[in-house]
Amino acid sequence: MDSVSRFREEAAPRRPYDGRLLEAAIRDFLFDIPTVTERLGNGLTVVVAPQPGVPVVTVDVTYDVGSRVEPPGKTGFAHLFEHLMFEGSENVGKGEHFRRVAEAGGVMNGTTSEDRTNYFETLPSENLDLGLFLEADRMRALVLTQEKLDNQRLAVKEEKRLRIDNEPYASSFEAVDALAFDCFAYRHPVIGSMEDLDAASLEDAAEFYRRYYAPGNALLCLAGDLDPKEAFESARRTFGAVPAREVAPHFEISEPVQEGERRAERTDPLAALPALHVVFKAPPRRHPDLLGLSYAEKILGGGESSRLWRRLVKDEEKALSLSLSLDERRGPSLFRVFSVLRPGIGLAELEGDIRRGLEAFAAEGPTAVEMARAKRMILSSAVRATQTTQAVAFLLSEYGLYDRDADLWQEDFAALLDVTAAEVRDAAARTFLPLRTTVVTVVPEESEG
Amino acid sequence: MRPFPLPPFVEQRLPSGLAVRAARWGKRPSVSAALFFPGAGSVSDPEGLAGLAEVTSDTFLDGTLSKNGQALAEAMDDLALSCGVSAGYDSATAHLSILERDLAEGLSLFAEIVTEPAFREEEVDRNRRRHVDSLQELRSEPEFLGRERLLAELYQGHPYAHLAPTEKGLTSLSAGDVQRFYSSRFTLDGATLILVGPGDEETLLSAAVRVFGSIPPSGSATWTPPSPPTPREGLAFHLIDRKDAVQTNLLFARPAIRLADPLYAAAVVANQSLGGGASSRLFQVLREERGLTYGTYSSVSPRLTAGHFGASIDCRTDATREALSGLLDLIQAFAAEGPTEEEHSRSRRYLTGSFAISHETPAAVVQGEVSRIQHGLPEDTWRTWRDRVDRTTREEARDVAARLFSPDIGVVTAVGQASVVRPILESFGPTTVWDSDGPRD
Repeated sequence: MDSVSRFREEAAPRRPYDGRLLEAAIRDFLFDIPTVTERLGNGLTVVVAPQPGVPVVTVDVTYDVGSRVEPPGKTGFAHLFEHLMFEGSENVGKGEHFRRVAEAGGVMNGTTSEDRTNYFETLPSENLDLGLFLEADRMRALVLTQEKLDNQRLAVKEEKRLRIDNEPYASSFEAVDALAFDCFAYRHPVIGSMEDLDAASLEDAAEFYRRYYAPGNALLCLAGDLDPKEAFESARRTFGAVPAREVAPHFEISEPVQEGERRAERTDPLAALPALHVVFKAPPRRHPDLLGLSYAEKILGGGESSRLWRRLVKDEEKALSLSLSLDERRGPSLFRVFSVLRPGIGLAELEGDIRRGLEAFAAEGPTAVEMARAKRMILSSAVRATQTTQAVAFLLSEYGLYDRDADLWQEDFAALLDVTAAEVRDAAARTFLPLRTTVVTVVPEESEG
Repeated sequence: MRPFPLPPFVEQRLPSGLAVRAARWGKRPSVSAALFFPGAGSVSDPEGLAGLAEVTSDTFLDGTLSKNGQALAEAMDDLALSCGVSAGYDSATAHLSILERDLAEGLSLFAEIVTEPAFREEEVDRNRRRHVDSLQELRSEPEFLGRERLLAELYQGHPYAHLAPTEKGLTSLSAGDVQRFYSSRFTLDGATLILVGPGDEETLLSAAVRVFGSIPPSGSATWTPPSPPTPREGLAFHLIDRKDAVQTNLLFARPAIRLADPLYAAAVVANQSLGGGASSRLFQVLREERGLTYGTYSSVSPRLTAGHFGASIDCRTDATREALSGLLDLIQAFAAEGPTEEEHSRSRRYLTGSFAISHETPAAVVQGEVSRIQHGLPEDTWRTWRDRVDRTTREEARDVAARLFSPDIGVVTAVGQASVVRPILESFGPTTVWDSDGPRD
């Protein structure tokens, strides 16, 4: 091979971060997601976001209910109920929801998190009315039976086995939440326990539906290739027929400030290699510190040159994998580090490396070059993440439901791009504290002792 | 059926032999690209060096002639360049995603990565070691264990039999092997660069020509695709023991067809009725009626010179017999009778309608073009795909199911507790039991 690079002399000089260019890009492209919001008489909020282009539309209904509302003894119920929502309503027989969406050339699903539950159909845009009809019918008149509950209980228990009980490391993520959070709302897993799933009754389901599935507790978002006027008319025609119902009181989550390190060691018979969680309690979503922590996530673990990933995975070969993530929640959030160790590396050694790396970052903050890289990564990710109607609908639904303002994400994103290195350092210094740390180690069974 | 015209590609062939194809698609200011190298996949791994294609692909990002690994990583992050090289079976593909306004600089760096990789010995060694350690982790995952055994048995003795590198192959290969593999398989003559973004296609083409246009010819790689695998007979059962498993993960696969086969569209339509989604027969019966599983699906998986039809179900350990017999019985019945009129109509409508949904992004259009070129399909393949699906008759779907889905031949793998599952599997047929790292007896 020729050892002289063609690119050595030709390589373009590094372009410094140019705030004006970014602003232009945002204005011209990223923020080109106009919305119109209307509140129907029954309390349902409707957000319409025309996105001309590919003839596709997403119908998303997000309910203000997640596993956070589950009391002890009822864990997993919000997610189990999500399954029941696909089992038929007054004008939609069992199995018909799946069939009608498929016949219309669409895809559909539902997801439950700690903070909310959503249901969506992405359809060829001429079939928008089908998605509206299906969602309105189950919001208005879900049909619950013992047979459906028993059937979906089995499916959900298999889902728990598939995703958690039969997967290496999966249960350790549940252990982290149970240790890091004080409030029961976030201490227990979304999927719940087998005992609680077994105990779920039809009466529970009926009460849950009555309490949380009122139109005033939900937001409908329509995004894609649609005419806003026609879309609103269709939404009023279908969802307007859903009677108003009493809305559950707003569910607040708070917990005392963590004042001591928490640790647990787990043996995982399914794991082949040791693993490590180092987790820090962080403020709720939209808190200014989370803007800085978004940069910390990128600079420490988000790119090819990111500090911790590069050092521990590539250069020193201590970790097989290392991921950093900001788990933003409506209540207290978590800044997570998870790593699977290379054979022969000690848990204490890797934990020390990770913690020293975070502490050093909190003390010194990012360099100007790191900030510029992270900003470009954030912008690039945002552009890619809003390419589909489904992603746009999810983004608007979250802000529309949580903050009563679907457009507020633009303000948050602009603030994110304005963050300074000092703000990143300060946010890291307030978060990466020994007293706010939770550590969970995972040891394969045969390595025990 | 509402028209959904995919964008036309414009093409220019460069002096190096590289074909550049560009199309306008997408709304956001981001460009997706792929540089496709036929023959640079694992089928070209030399005897005893299983994993060479994968290690080679992984090492592209560890340095170029003028940048060490750290400098290259920083240059990529300066541009927020999302880039990677991945080896498949029949080919390797370098992927790029970048903001439209950074395209010129991004393409320049991309070209440096793919045409001037350093493959330094310490980086190759580092990646070899990581792959060896990764194998340990992979062998703790039930999905990997099942698929590894399934492919090994389905494609016995054929290059398609390998799901992952072997430890033996990884420890045997050297930086010199990587250099030779790169020189012989990653030539621009025969490769295709595909760019898709929201801007004018001629602009995309020009950007690529500016970067790749001055590279001189360096000879073409001669590559002969692997011969089709030897047809197998009978249905074989394999059990991988995972003593702490709380579920049994069941897979079935049998030989089917290539993407270029004229029957492929009919096979996709038939598969949709049987197990393509939540409205399909497997899901409706085994989950929605019988509560045996969270999900059960089937698929058609084409390679360049062969292909297979497969199905899967995961169930609690004590439901293994019911799940396996349910899965095989439903497949057998479908192969014998084909879809109902309602199933067939729904499948055609689903596949034609959802085609637009699966092509919302430039990356999806790039992937479709890579697949078309890899399999040697005509230029209009995806533009006419919905028509071909829509024209498929129920009789054609039934015939293709009878020919390609029947579980009278093939392989069944189960990953689970051997102490419970072994007698169940043996009641279906002779069963070979494996530990997670090899044969038990």
